[in-house]
Amino acid sequence: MAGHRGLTGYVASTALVALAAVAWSLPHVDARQAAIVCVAVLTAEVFASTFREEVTASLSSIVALVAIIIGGPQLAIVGALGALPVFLVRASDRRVLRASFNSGQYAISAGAGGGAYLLITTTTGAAFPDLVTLLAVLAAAVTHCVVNHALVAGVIAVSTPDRFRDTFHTIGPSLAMQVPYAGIAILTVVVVERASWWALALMAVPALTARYGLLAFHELDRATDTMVRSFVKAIEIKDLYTRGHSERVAALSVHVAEEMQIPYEQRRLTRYAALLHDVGKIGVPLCIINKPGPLDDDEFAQMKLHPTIGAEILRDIDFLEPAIDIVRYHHERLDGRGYPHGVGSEDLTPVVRIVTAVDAFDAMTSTRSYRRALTVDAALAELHRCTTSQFDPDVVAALETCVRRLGWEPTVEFASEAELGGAEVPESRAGESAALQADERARATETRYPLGPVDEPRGRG
Amino acid sequence: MNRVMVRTVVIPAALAVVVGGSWWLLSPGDPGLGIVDVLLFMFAAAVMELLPINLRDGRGVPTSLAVVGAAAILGEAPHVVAAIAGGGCALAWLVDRRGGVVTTLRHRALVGWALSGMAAIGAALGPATWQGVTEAGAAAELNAGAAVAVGVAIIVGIPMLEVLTRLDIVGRYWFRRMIETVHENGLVGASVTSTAVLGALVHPVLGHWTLATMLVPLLAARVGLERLGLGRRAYDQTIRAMSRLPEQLGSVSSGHGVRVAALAREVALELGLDAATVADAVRASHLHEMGRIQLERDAPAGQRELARAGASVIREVADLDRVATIVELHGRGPVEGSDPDTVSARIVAACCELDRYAPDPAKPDQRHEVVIRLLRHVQDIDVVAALTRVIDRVGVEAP
Repeated sequence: MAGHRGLTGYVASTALVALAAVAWSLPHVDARQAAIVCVAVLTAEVFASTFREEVTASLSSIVALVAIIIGGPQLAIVGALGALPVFLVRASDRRVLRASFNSGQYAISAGAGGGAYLLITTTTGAAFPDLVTLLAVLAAAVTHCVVNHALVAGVIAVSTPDRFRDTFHTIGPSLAMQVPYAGIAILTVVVVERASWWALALMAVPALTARYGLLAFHELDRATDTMVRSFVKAIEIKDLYTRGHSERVAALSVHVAEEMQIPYEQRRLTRYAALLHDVGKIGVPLCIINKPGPLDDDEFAQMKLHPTIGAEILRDIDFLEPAIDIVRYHHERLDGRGYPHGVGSEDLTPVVRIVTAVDAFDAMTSTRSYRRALTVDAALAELHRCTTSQFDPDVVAALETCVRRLGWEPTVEFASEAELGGAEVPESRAGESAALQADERARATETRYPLGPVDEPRGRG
Repeated sequence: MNRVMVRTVVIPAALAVVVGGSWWLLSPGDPGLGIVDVLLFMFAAAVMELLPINLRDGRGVPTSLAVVGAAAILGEAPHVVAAIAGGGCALAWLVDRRGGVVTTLRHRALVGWALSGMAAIGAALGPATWQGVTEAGAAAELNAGAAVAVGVAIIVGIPMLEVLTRLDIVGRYWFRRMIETVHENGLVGASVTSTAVLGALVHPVLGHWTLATMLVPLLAARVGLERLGLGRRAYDQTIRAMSRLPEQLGSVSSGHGVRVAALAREVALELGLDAATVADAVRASHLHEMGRIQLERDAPAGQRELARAGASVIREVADLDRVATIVELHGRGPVEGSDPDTVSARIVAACCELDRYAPDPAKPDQRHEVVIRLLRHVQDIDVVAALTRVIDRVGVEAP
């Protein structure tokens, strides 16, 4: 309740300051210029594009800079009102609160940027496009960006447990963008003031090309996503047992990666690699893949090749190159007793460890031909028991947090061939090795080496 | 002097000299750039030389043309524009030494020289200098005729000339390839041209600061198009990787899909198919054995069942209907029809048969046998003739 009051107070303060700024600015602006800037801000916000989950590109800050150069901070402050209708329409809930804050912080940021520009140009007496004024535009862009981030970080700190500095420190990439933003703003002003409005079309061509390229890329990105999923479907045509396994491992791996604050690009690759981690099973004969009973040594030797085969299949896909280790090493262990390469913890990156643990967890919580699914608690207990030797304790802790938060349930939605054929699926036994359960076809080793590593048999069960 | 030398060096050089030479006849002789500006332009050309826009096939479109084009529109002499282009290329080579510097340097210098001449011709034919309206300070100005001429050269002329210099690769359907190249490079060309015009327009106002500002929108366009290029490559590579799935089953030789796709692409180009059909024929070639994944669990199947199962897998997993149709058709034995899908299917069938047979085309008896075998298999003399021409040109890689 106190948090809600704090949020309302913060938003109200922001909106009031912005309103005061607008009231002060209105008498100082040319009505025609103000209308044009408002329409430009509105257009920029309408055509803002979300290019990935963390980045929304809008040209409204460039419009603000242009307004600052042409009409000072007052014009930029009034122009920020152009975004209000978009914020009102776009907000999914608490419309008034969200729109008030967003419009308010736009106006305040524009005013701050304009203030910086005015301070420099009046102090030095320089006129556009002198060198000093060009640098003043850059200073205005940086100020606008800093104030904007501070206000957003403030509202996040007030409304969520996140700290102010945790949000504010993400300002880096935005600050880097201020140099090109300032360049475009300067160019726009020169074109509008010293040439003609029509000449803006010359700037629009590359800008529209950029937009076309990014949007077309996202179409293709989706198509590539479909193609990557089609790999999984192709495996599932062959391997009925693991239907849905790859999708679940991918989804849960991304949650765990988020929990561990893995950067966006690595999370994206983790999802692809987790989807494809079993692609090498295509190279394992069908009679082994779908064998209802335990595997013999030769069969298991063939099964152990699937991470290597998978890496081989994916080797030509450039964008997956950083993630191929996930496919190659997803059956390796921290103590170096995994397969097929037997590498140790120094070769297992955080994302490899994530997929390894999630793969094991999903295998344990899924019904298989040779046993029913373990409960989530039993599977987590097994993972905890195998930490340090097999699984990274931090990964297992993050996995437990995600599983609890998501209310993860054992998978019963798909049937094994044994079930499809009417055969009885045995109950799970307590204390089965997570590592061995993790390998869907390691049921042979499950009985022969119930608790130990694959290279140290403890005798048949 | 062989034909390739004549086509790639002598003709472009002669064209550039003739076109560029017109500057001395037509230019008013009032260059707009001082020595500092020329050096700045050269530096900017070097920076942009390092930031080409890579579309398909790894061929980068040089964005440095925007800088060179701006200098040409501003009325600089051919040797100065050529020096800017060539100097920029040489400076860039000091940073990134990949590729043949001599060839690129020659190309850039010729293009710079020719652009300057084009600008002079455009300025002579077009209207007088346009001047912006301004209340205070210097006004922006532009020679519209020069701008249009440079734009035509960048968007149409240079891509067309590049196709002409690759006639031995492009084959008989060079005009279609020219149109496709202009179409494919159209967006980049338009962005580069508008940047060049913008630079020339604002130079009287911004002076030394022109380059730092004018190139920003073009760099934004580069970001977008580079992303698009990456997306295309990722998509194609993913399909290529899918061709390895049936190979892992052991019933198809390693690399079969990739080799068939490479041959099919050349044959499709040789037959003058349009770019979209060529792309789908290549995809179908990569995926034509996918049926083996589905049929592994069943008894050994014939070519027709395999192709049908492959089409079914492709429709189910990849949502590529046209590719699935081509794959299905390729297994039906000799199929009649002249629509692009049927022709593509015959191409895939012929290339697949050739790769399985793995002949040595250098041996006349094997070549004769290959032709007979392919004719019997696809019953399309055009496809077989095109395939034999491709074999002669690029050879066949044994499995």
